[in-house]
Parts: sequence; structure tokens; C-alpha cells
Amino acid sequence: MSTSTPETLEPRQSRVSRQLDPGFERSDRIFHKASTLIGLSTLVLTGAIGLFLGEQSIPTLSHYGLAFFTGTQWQPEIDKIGIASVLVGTAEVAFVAVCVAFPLAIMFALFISDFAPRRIKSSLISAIDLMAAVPSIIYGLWGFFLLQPKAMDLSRWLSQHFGWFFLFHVDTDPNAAVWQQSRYTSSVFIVGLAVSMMAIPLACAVMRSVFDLTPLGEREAAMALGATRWGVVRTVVLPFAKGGIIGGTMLALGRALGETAAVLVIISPAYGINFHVLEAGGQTVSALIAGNFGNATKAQLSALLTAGFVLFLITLAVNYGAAIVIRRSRSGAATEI
Amino acid sequence: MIRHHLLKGLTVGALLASALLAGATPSGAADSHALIQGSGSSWAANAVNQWVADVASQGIQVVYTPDGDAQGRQDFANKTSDFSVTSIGYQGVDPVTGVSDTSNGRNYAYLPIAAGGTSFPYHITLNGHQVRDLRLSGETLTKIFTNQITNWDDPEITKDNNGQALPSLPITPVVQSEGSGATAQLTRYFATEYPSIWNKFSPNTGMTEYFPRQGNQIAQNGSNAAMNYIASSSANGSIGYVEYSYALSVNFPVVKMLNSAGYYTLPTQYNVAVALEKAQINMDPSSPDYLLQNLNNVYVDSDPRTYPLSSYVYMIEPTGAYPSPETNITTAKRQSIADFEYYAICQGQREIGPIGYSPLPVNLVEAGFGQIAKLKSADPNIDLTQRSILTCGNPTFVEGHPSANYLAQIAPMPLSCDKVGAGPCSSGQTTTTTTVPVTTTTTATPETTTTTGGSGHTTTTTTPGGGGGTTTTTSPGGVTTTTATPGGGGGTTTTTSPTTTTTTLPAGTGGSTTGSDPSTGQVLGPSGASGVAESLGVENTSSATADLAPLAVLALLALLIVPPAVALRLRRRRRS
Repeated sequence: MSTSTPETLEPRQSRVSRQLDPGFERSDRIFHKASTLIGLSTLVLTGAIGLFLGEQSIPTLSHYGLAFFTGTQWQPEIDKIGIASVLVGTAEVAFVAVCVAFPLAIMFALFISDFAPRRIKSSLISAIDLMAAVPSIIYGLWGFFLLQPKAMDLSRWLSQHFGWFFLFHVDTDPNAAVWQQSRYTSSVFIVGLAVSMMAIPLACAVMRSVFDLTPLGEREAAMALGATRWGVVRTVVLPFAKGGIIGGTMLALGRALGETAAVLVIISPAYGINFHVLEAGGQTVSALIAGNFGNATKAQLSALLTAGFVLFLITLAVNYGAAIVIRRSRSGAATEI
Repeated sequence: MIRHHLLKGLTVGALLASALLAGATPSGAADSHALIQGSGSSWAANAVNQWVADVASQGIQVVYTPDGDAQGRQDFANKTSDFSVTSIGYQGVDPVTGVSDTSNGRNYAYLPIAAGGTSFPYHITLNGHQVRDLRLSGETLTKIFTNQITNWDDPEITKDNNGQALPSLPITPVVQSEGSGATAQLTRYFATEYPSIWNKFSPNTGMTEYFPRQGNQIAQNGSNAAMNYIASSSANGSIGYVEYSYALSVNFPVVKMLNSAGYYTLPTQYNVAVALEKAQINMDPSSPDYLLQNLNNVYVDSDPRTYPLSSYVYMIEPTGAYPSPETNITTAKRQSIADFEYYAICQGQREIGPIGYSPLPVNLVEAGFGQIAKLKSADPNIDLTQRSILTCGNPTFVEGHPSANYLAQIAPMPLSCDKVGAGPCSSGQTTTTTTVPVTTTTTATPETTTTTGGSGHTTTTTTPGGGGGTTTTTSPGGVTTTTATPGGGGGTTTTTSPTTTTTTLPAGTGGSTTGSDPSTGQVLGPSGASGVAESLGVENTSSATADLAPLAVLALLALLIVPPAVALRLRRRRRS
């Protein structure tokens, strides 16, 4: 096939010394440099935020010491500050939100990728994307005006039947003839419901795109072996997309941890560690900052930013955890986020 | 059709507004103004926003953010705002905690801009009927907000209502979570009048802008949020505290509060004006607290027409000279501030009575002129000509009697059924439904419909003329509605029924907005023209909402359907 080529090439080689590593073309080199720079700048930005928060928290940490993490009250007026209850509240809101968002998101995504008729598929996708485009304050108002009066009854039902379980306990008589409605409003549970609406589109988008990436060959192979549609989903799609599912859920968790406006609208700020999620009152780190930074003095602002720093570190840990889980799963390479 | 409606409404409104304002517009040319920004009290926000809308037609642009008194003062101190509105002055540095509340060296002066009553809206619904005639004494209120009284069937509440017991329903006090003037006024009253009860609940604070929330109390961020919470259908049994206008704007009943004369009164503009005649104003011009209020005598005023929890609200204006230290306050900005203030304390006072505030008395307007003049001494380039107390337009003035407060003179005596041991009257809230045309639009919201819809026929009627007697109507639903008839000739027939969403306001009658006050026939407040403008506005908004609702649904559907359809078509075209 190519018997004559070496002869024709040889003279050229002798004239121009052949470069073993030609490097990039000039345009490639510029692009390479620019993209490296931009990639690094995200690291620098994140690092700068962390540094800023860390620096701001020095006076607070040196003033309050360990009590800052163990105290449950937020009363800067009398110099009593602690974020234990706020951190617990944040975790509770995120937990409720993920509990609600995870099953909904995975089922939305499965329906769209595997069951929905082709015609309405794009409509469904745009509907989910529309959910992501709605500002969080709107979800807050929606939760306050529409959801809360309805969810209140669900809260009461839960505490009537599952009140023996500490999470669903409410410190009032749910069976009273005239029940105390307001004990069931402004709760971590209702905030969690509203926040889950914001977490769903994020989780759903990631999961759907990963489900769509399932190799067609493997799907067809399962089909050829006589698998039902559900069988394909169970044996091929879900195992393949494990990383994507975890990644999407973690993204949703990150969103839920940081959500501010909706929480601020619904919650009734209360301090003190309380695991009764159905009961009125609670507080999250971001809502604490948003509600108090305006009229904070210098010392209080530092305390608020320290709370923000702690939240920053927690979110960072969550994201790293997610990355590790994803890398270990089979589809990791395809779903790096 | 829609456009026609809107255009008509807009032009009519604009024409009327400009006609109204033309007389009061100071000579300052529009081009000498600049945008000014303020922040602060949500207690006063409804009044301030009314003025902001009014002066816009004079070319004065004002942006007001009601983010709470404490934050407003902080913004002013940080020089991020041009003015601030607050119920209390700068508090100085706290000796115990070192928390500082000062202007950071920025020069300022306090200017009283409005009076009003801190009211207690409540939400008690029984078998579909909303209780609208609750009376409470200051002591009962203190015990409610300190978690000592926790159920509406408490004997003390029954006693306040002359033996009429409310059902067993837990009380949920709703407090404001941000540093607010309403909280400051409330806790000052509690700490001054009932120190033993208050100090047991909150031993360290005394008067505070931050309510020390405890127990069953729900906290909400701001007056609007608190009012929304109380009005929402999930808040049966709740009671909160907001400026009266917030309760009026959502047509919610407020507590009739017991005064020292033994009468239960509402925070109407008359009762507030009478009460504040007893306010001790700091009249020492050299004091940093010049014009600030001491309300101790207001709380115990023995005039039967007093609403005890009345107070003034203040604007903080920058009086430092330009260019230094006030690098931001240019001449144009200061001109805007001066003109805005002038409008607020003069002509603007006519607007705020019907929406739940009370106009300033003459002496404070006069002192206010002095405060505005401080802007001129800070910057001699601003124009303060053609301003006179005689042409001011404040409704409390009596021509030729500069020291009298017209409102306090004509303030009606409370009805005899509002006295301790009598009544209770059940008509008081009629005022709220008929005096403010804007409220009728909110009748269409689901919450109000559910609460009043149950009876179907709870119709409240205010009959004109008459001899000041009371009429009692028993509706099929079993609710007894007593209606007071105005004594004078200014009364107008206004019927509000829960089934209709618009109120018919007779156009052109002078008293269309104030004449239906149950106990007075006096016509003052806004002139007839403004009443017409408001009622037109209401009609327009309601018809516009009705027309726009299907449009919104269509838009949403289009948003969902069009992009995928386009994508489908594109895909097909590419394939073929």
C-alpha cells in the first residue's frame, strides 16, 4: 500500500529537522492560555470569598471562641451569639427539601427520558426549566400565600398520626376541637417544601441529561433479552446514571442549604435547637444573614459573616463529598459536574 | 378595550392629580431636582409612598425603601441614603453592650412628618364569621403579648367585651422580627404603663425595637409580612401590631383600645389627633432631640376621644453643608428633599387621614418649616420662596386661629356603647370598609372571601342624614350588625357587601371618602376631586385585573407550548 512513500519522504526529512513535539498552533496557544486563566480565576474567586469570610470571622471567633459553635441564642444586644441552632435549622430545611425533591426529581427525569411520548417531551423539559427560571422570592410568596394554608392541614395530619415520632411532634394538641393553626405555620417543614420546588429543576436537569446518556447499545441489549421498559430502567439506566443521580441530589442540597429569600418570607425566626420540623419557628444561616445584616453593627456583621463562613465550609464539604462519590461510581467520567 | 380603560384611567388620574397639585407646587423648577433615596420605617411607609407618588408629577423623584427604623437610621449614618424615616431618634451608645446607634457624625435634624396609631389587627373566625368588634384594655394587650393570656376565652378578654365571651381558641401573638418603630412604640407603652408585667417577660430590654420573641409567638419580617400573616387563612386566632393603615389596606378589623376615660376607641385620624395634643414635644432647638416626642401623657390622656397608642413619626434630613461633609448631597438633591418635605407636611397631610394616619398639628408644621429652613442654611443655593404656613394646605388649620387643631376640635365623641360596662358596639369597623375605597379591591382576594362569604348576607349599611342614632340589622347568618348613622349632612350612602367586589362611590360628593365616618358628618380630608380620582382608579384596576387574568393564563400557556413547537418545526425542516 505504501511501499513508495518512505522514498518520497526521506529527502524532505533530511532538509527540515522534524519536531517531535510540535506544540500548539498560535491560535491554539492563545486559546489554551485564555481558558487556563479563566479556569484558574474561578479558583481564585472561590478562594477569595473563602479568604474574605475567614478574615472577617477572626474577631468573632477570638471573642466568642468555641461558644460560637455551641451557643443556641442569637442576641447580639446582650452579647450572646451562637450558631448551633441556626446550623441545625439549615440542615433541617435542606433535609426536608431533599427528601421532597429527590423522589420527585428522579421520577420527573425518568418519565421525560424513558416514558414520555416524543411529542410532549420538549414541552415537559421547558416546563421544568421554567421552574428554575422563577425567582426564589416568588416561590417564597407562593409558599406563604398558597402552600402554607394547605400544608398546615398536612402538618396537622402528620402530627396526629405520627406525633409519637420526635420529628413529627408538635407541642400542642392536634386533636383539639379548635386546633391551634398557627403552631403548624411558618415551620421548617413548609420552608422545606418551598425550597424543594427550587431544588427540583436543578436535580431533574442533571438526572435527565445523564439518563439520556445511557448507551443505546446497552438499552437495546436489555430489550433484546426481553426486558420490559421498567426492566431497562432498573437494570441499565439507573445503575449507569448513579453518579448523575447523586450529583444532581447534591446540587439540590447545595441549593437548599443556601436558599434565602423564600426562607425569609415564610419562617418565623426562632432560636434554640428544635427537631420538631412541623412546629412554627426556626432559622437558617442565610436567612439569618439576610434578615440582620442591614442593621448590624461592625461586631454583629462579623458574627454574621462567620456564620456565612461556616455555611461556606459545609457547602464545600458537601460538594467534595459528592465529587468523591461520583468519581467512584461507574459513570463518573460522563457526569463530572 | 383594555388599553382604552387603562388610558382613560391614566389620563383622568393624571389630569386630576396635576389640577390638585398645581396650587401647591412650589416654584422650584423641575430641572433643579435630583433623585433622592430614603429608607426606614415601615410603620410610615404607606404615607411616605403616597407622597412619593404625588410629588412624582412635580418632577421630584423619590425612592423609599421601608426596611425598618433601625436599618433606616443605619443607612443614613452610613451615608447610603439621603433621608431616613424613623419613629425614635438615634439612641446613642449602649453603655452595657457597646452597641452604637448614632449618625456617625453626619449632621441631621428631625422633622415630624405624620401621626398615627399603632393598631392591633386580629383574626378570629368562628363558623365562617369573622369577629370584627373586639375591645381590649392596655393591660389585657400587655398580657397577650407577654404570653400571660393565651386563649381568647380568657375572663379578662370577656370582661373587656362586657361579658361577651369569645370561644376557646389559642392566641398567637404575631411580632415583627426586624428592628421596627411599631415594636418600639409598643414596647415603650408596655414598659411605661405596665412595667411589672413587661419586665417579667423581658427583664433586660425596657423599650426595644427588637421584640424579644418567646413561646408561641410568630415573628414576621416587616409590617407588611406581619399583616399578611394575620390576614392569611392559616392564622386563625392571631393578633399583631402594625400601623393602622396596614389593617385598613387589607380590610382587617383592629382592636378598640381602652383609654383612660373608660372608652374603647379606634386609631382614627381624629382620635390620634386628640391624643397627641398631650404629647410632650422637645421644643429646645439646641437639643439634639429637638422635636422628638415623649408620649407618657398620651397614654393616660383623660379625653374620651383618645387613642392611647398614638405617636409621631420623623424624617431625618441631612443638614451638613455641601460639598463637605455632605459630599453626596448636591444642591439639586437638597432642593428635592426640601420640596418633598414641604409637600409632605402641607398638602400631603390631606391624603393620609383616610388611609390610616393623622395629620400634623399646626405647631409641628411651623416647627417643620424651621427644620426645612436648616437645609437652606446648609446650602444657600436652594430655593425656599413661596412657602407660607397660610397657603400650606394642612387640614388641621383653622383660618385665623393658628394655634387650634381643627381635627381635634371636630373629633367626634365615642359612642356610649363603647364605654366600659356598656355595649359592645359592633359597628366600629364599618368605617374601615367605607372610608377607604382602595380596600374594596382587596375584598376579591380569597382570604377575605372565605372569611366573610360564609354568611352571604353580612351587609353593612351606612345611612345618610338621620339623627345620630343606631340601627341594628340582624342578617340571616345570625350576625348582628349595628350601624351608626352620621349626624350631619355629609353622609353618603355606601353599601359594602361581601358578595360584590366594587364599592359604589357617589362621584362628586364632597364627603365620599370621609363623610361616612360613623360618628361625624364633617367633611374635610381630601377634597371631592381626589375622592373621584380614587374611585375611578379602583374601577379601572378591577376591570383591568379581570381583563388581564385570561391574558396571563394565555401567556403562560404560550410560554410552555411555543418554544417546543418551534423546535419541532425546525427539526422537521432540517430533516426534509
